Amino acid sequence: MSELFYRLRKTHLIRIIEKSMLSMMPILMIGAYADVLATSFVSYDSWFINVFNLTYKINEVFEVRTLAFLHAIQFATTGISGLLLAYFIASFTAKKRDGAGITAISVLLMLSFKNNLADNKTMPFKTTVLNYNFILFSLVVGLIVGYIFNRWGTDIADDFEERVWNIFKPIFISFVLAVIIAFAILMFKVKATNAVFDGLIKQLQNANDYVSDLIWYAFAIVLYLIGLPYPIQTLYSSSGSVQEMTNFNYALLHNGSWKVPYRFLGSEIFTSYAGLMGLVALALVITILLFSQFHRRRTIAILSLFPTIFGNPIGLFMGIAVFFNPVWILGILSVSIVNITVVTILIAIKFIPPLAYASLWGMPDILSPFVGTNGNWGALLVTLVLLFVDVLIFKYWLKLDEKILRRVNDEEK
Amino acid sequence: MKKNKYWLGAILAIILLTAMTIPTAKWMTSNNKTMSQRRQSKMTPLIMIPGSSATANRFDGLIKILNKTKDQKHSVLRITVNENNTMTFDGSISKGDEEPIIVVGFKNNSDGYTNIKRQADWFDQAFYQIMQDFHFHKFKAFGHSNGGLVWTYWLEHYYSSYSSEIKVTKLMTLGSPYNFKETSYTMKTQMFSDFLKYKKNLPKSLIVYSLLGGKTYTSDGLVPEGSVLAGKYIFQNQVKNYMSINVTGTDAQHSKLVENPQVVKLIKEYLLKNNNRRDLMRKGPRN
Repeated sequence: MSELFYRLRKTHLIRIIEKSMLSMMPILMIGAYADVLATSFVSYDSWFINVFNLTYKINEVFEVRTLAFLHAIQFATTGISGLLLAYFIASFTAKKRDGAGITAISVLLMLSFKNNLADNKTMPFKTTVLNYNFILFSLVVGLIVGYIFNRWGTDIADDFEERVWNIFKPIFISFVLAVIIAFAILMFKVKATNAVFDGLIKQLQNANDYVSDLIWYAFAIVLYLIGLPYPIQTLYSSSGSVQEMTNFNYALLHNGSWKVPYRFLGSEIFTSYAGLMGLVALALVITILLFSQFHRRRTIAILSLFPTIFGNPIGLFMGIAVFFNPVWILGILSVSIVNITVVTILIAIKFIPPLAYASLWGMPDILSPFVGTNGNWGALLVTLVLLFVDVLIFKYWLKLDEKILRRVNDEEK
Repeated sequence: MKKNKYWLGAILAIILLTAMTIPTAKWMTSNNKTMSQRRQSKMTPLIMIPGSSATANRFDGLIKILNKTKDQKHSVLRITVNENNTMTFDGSISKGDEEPIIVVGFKNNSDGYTNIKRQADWFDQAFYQIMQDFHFHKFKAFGHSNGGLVWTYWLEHYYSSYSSEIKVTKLMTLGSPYNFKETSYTMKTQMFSDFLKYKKNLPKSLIVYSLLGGKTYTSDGLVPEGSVLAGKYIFQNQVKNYMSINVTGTDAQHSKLVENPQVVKLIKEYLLKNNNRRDLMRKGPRN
C-alpha cells in the first residue's frame, strides 16, 4: 500500500496540488484567525462574549466595526480560496507560460456568475464557488486553463510585447470555452448545489442509527477531502435540523437528554465527537506537534493550534495538504469511524447521554459534547480519551505520510 | 529537549482547554436552566401597545372589563419606556397567573413614522427585559392604532432574534393605519412600502386579526378604512392566517374602539383562553 501511495504522490498532478495548497496556506491561515476572532471572540453571539458575560461591556459600535473589519479579512482570504486555488493550479501547470493564473481567475468568475440576474443588490458571483466549498471545481478549472496554456501558449519571451501577444491565443481559447459553459449554466439554470448535494445534506441530518451514520458521514468526509467540502460545511453552519430541535425541546421539557427521540443522531455525534473541523482536526494538530519529523510542519501546526481549537483548521489542512491525499483520507476516515463507533456504543449502554442541548457559536469544539449533554462529565472524559486515541491512530498515518514525502523529496533533489 | 518542548505545549493546551470548561459550564448551567424554565412555562402573556398620545394606562378600562369574569383575573404590569431606554414599572404579575397582561407605553408617544421606528426600538428594550424576568415561550400581541404599527415594525425587524426561543402566536391590531391617511393602497406611504419590503420577516405561524371601526362607511372617524385594509397586502399569504373584521355600532369611533363591546368579545374569543369552553368540557356535553 505504501508503494502505491508513493507512486500516486509523485505524480505531476498531486505535486501541483500540494504546491498550490502550500502556496495558499499563509493567506488562508490569516483568514482562519480572522474567522475565529469574529466567531468566537468579537460577535455578541460568540462563545467568549457570552461565557464571560461581556455583552453589556462591549460597545455596540465597536462590535459592529470590528466584525466588519474581520469579515473583510475573511472574505479577502478564505472567501476567495477557490479563486486562489485556480490561480495557483493554472500557474504551476503552465509554469513557463505567462498569464495562466490570472486567466483561471477570470474563467472561474465567469462560471460562478449567478443565474438570477435581477438580484443586483448582492455580489453577482456564487460565494460557494469562490470559497473552498467546491475546490474540486477550482482545481479542474485551473488544470484545464493550465493545459490550454501549455498546449497553445509559448514559453516566456524576452521581449515584453511579444510576451503579451504570445498569451493572447490561450487566453482567447480559455475564454471561449468559459463563455460556452457559463452560457449553458445560465440557460439551463444548472443548480449543482441544490440538485446533487441537498439530498445528501438531508441524509446527513436524518441519519439516526449506527449504519446510516457511518455510511453517510464516511461518504461526506471522503467528499470533503477530494475537494467537495460543501455538505460538511453546510452541516456546520446550519442552525439545527428538525430532529435536533425535537431533541432539544425534549431535553428542555424533561430536564435531561437520556431519552430523547433521536438518540443516535449522526449530525450531533459527528460534529461533536468526530468533527473534521473539531476534535479530529485538533488530534491531527497535536499529532504533528508531537511526532512530525518536518520542522516546517510543526511550525504550521503551532500556527494552526489556536484556530483549530476554535473550529477552523483550514490553514493546517492546506499546509500539510490533506486534500486529495489518500494517506490522510484513510487516516481521517479511520479516526472518525473509531470515534462514531465508540460514542454510539457508549450511548447505547447509557454511559453517556445523547447530545441535545444548544452550544454557542465559536465554542472550542472539545467542549461541545460536555455542553451538548448539559454538563455530563462522562461526555467530557470520553472526549479527552478519544482525543488521546485519535492521536495514536494519526501517529501511524503521519509516519506513513512522512515516509512517502521524504522519498518524493529525495527523488526530486 | 526539543521534543519535550512540544510535549509541554500539548499538555499546556489540554490544561487550557480544561480551564475553559469552568466558565463554559457556569454559562451552560444558567442558560439551560433559564431555557428549560421558559420551555416548561405555562405562562402566555398578552402584550399590549397603545397608540400615539396614549400612556401605559390606556387599556385600564378594557382590562377592567376583561377581568369581570368569574374565574379568571389577569394581573397587569404596565411599563413605560423613556427616551433614554430606562423603564418605569407599575403593577405586577401574580404568581401562577398563566395569562397576565403586560402593557408597554412610551414616554415619547407622538405620531409619525420616525417615532414609530423609535418606539419599536424602545419596545424591544422592554421586551428583552420582560423575557429575562418572566420565562415564557409563547405570547400574544395586541396593538391599538399606532400600537399595531409598532408591533408590525418590531415583528419585521426585531423578532427574528427571539424567534428560536419565544413564539408569538397571535396578533390583533385595532384601527391600525398601515398606510397612514391614504385611502388607497396604490398611494403608498414610505412606512407602508417598508412594511411590504420586509414582510418576508414576519413569522409564518402567526395568526393576525385586523379590526377596523366603522363609524362612517369609509372610516372610524380618524383612520380611513382603506388604510387599515391595506394590512392585507402585508399579512395575507405571509402569515398563517389573516382575518379582517369590521366593527360598527355606537362605540366604533377610533378612540372608543378599545372598549367597544364587540371588540372586547373578539379579544376574549380570539386572544384570551376561552374559559367558557373549558367549563363546558369539564361539565361534559349537555343533553
